[in-house]
Amino acid sequence: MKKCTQVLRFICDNLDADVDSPRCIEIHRHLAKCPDCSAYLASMKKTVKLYRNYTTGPVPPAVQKLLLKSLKEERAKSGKNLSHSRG
Amino acid sequence: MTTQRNDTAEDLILIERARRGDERAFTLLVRRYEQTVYGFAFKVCRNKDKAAETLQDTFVNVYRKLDQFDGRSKFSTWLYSIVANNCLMKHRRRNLDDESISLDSGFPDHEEPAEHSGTWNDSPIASVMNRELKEHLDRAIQKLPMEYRVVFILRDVEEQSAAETARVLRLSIPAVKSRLRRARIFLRNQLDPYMRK
Repeated sequence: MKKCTQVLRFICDNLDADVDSPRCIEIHRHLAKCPDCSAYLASMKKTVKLYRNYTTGPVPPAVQKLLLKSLKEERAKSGKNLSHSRG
Repeated sequence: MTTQRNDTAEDLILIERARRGDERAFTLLVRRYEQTVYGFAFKVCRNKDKAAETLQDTFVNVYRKLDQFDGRSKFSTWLYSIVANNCLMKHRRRNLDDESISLDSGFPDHEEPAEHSGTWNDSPIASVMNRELKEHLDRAIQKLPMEYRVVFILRDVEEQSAAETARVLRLSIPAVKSRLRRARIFLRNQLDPYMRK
């Protein structure tokens, strides 16, 4: 039988662990019986999910414009003669 | 997987053409990866202006160093390492993120998960990305030392493998795993009071 501290440590290390491994099966058994560890796992997964869903949207056109301007200046500075491809 | 392989092959073709002086090929590379770079920079800096600045710095660097890309890693891995180094350097040099805790002061050496921590509010309101929640997420991650923040973003948000993250940051895989564990616990604990409301 796993102790809660061991389970919690495992959870923190292996949020996306292979569910078929013997260690994972043992952890899942513990989680099914332990609401505290189960709640901790849910909160840990939610933390990751919230940050994953917090995006900034597409690159603003003004930023794209500035980027192309910087690259143009860099080309001029470096003296590289980039030419348009024919293909 | 096949798409990934095709992407890699197409990247190599574009890089080769850009190296030979094909301006359009370089612009295509920029178009292809600007969102990845901008998004990653925003997630690390938590600021749109800094993300825009990092986007420019990164592609200027790519332009200068394209000859140094040896094709042994994916182009995206190379880009991630340029962005990560840029963010880490800026952070050290300008001390942009005043709120972050220094590694020597305040960030626990061996942060352990708390037992019996209670259940988080699972109502839709707690999941909707509203302004209040965004502020809490920003505040929590800005307190996380940059060296840990970058690992968390690469592994958990950008979903890069431990090996890929280790390559990007020039760390060992055990170091990546250790930083990730501590970052996860730290962020979860920071959000805990708000999420239990």
